[in-house]
Amino acid sequence: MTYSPSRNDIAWVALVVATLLTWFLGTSHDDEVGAAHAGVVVALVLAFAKAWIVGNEFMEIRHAPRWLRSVLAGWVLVAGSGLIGIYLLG
Amino acid sequence: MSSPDVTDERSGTRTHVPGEAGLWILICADLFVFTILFAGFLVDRHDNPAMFSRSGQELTLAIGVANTLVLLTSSLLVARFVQRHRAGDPAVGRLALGAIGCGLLFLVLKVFEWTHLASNDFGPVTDTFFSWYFVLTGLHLVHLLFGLTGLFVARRVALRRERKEHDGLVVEGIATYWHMVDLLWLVIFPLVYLTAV
Repeated sequence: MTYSPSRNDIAWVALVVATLLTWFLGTSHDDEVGAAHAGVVVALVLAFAKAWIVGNEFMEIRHAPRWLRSVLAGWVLVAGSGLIGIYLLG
Repeated sequence: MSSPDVTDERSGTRTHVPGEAGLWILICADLFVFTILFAGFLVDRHDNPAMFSRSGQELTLAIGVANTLVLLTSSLLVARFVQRHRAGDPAVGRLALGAIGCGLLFLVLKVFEWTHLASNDFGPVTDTFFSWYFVLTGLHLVHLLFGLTGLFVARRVALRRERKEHDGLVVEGIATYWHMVDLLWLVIFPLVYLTAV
């Protein structure tokens, strides 16, 4: 019997890869402040992308009515861009 | 039984709200409150970046990464648990046990991290960074404990010999709450472990 990965398995692999990439960003110890800040911004973008995947795939929001899909997408966009904005203004 | 499917008027496809619709009010409220806290953390960091940088470096990034991987794996197991329960698979209890094991491992790692910090004299009143760190991770851990309790309940429900009408709703609702615990951690992780830069 051959194993074929489900959508959830693929989502999990993507989430793990994004987490390991975040780990790499956190340990790269860039001396230049601008590059370090860019790394944090990428990590925050990855975090909200991961939240979107967890919501859509594991929480099954992709099968939910439009209002619930909009709540997830709205939170990811507004909270994600808002927090990145506050970080950059600092 | 789980919540009924509804046909989307525009696309014509069947849609389904996981768990009770009322649960989503709680989840939206939780997301809102945590988002305000995340913003508060970053605003305070803005006021004192040197202190946040110094104190943030006391955290061990590898523990944050391990906690993230453990929660992501638990979420995968819970998603499979819901699908197999729907399909009527009697061996579904193992998946719930695996997810509970991951949740307990997260708890152990967090307690280890807190104990390690405390042994080096870092606590909630050390400075603003550590106040935020303990508030965010502490509130999250309370949610995790509720979620873990829920997973035990969901496993019991799934292993009952005779299915009751609302079993599907209970299992889906608890699973949805658990995924929210995972989702919140995904944002807490880069905030407290990486913004020390």
